[in-house]
Amino acid sequence: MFIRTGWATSEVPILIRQLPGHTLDQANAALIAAITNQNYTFVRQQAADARLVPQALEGRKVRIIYFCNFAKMERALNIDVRAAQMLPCRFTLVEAEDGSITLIAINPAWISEGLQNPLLHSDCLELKRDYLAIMDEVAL
Amino acid sequence: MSPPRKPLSRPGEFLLRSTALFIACLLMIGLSHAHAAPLIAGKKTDPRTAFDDLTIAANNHGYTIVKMQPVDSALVKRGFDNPHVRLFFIGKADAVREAEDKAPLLMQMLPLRIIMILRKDEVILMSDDFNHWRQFFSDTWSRPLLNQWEEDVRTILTNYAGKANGSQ
Repeated sequence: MFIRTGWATSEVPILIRQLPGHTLDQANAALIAAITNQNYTFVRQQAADARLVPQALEGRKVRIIYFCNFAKMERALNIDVRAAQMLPCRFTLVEAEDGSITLIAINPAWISEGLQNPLLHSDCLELKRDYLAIMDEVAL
Repeated sequence: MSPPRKPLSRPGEFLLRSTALFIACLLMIGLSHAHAAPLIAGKKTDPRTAFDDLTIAANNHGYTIVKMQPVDSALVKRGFDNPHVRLFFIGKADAVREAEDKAPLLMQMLPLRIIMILRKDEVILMSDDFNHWRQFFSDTWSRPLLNQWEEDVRTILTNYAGKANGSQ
């Protein structure tokens, strides 16, 4: 039995970077480049309402970018199949009304705290570091 | 040779120890309920039928499968072990609009993820952990959305499992 008292939540759930000076397209391109530079594979991108509305009517202000490192994915799933709750890796780009761009991700270490598996948690801390490195590179 | 068991020193000690044990059990039960857990439903079937049943269950409740991510074949074709896991993403346009308006950070949870775990002759479906999300996103706008999505997924999984209620 897992007992929550040993797992005081210390991680924030959401990682956020403002991207001043970027358009949505520029941020999108920089993000895909940074993902590749950190040894991850770009998987796909989509609107938040993709396949829910006709393509011409899809929202243009939110882009979801999925990416993956297959070796890390295999390792995480071997440790705990519930790691699928954070797969594939994902960033979201959001354009506000004033045109400012924000880069957002769910913190994998926060998800891991909820799963309460110490073996998985160290991998998720590493994953979080990768996310932050990607976000820093895009924000440069 | 083990030492002789020490007799209870006072008549009330047995009651004291029993009460302490009872309280410890209550605490353990309470903590185990506090432990976050995803929704899970499973049944004996094959992956193809499970996909069809999930599609029907999602459609019955206004959701569409927007993407299937074959994690199993993606890993195998790259030479990794087969994790026997596939991901499905389900959504509905109204839910996206509502999250955009009321709780934009919850957009991170959309489209909703259903994890399909393939076992020998059983296919298990598992959700994300709504309880974990609720612990942080407990504001007036977020909580009702999380509750609604959880209820939607619970109904879909119940429908998938072919039960009238209570798929857990």
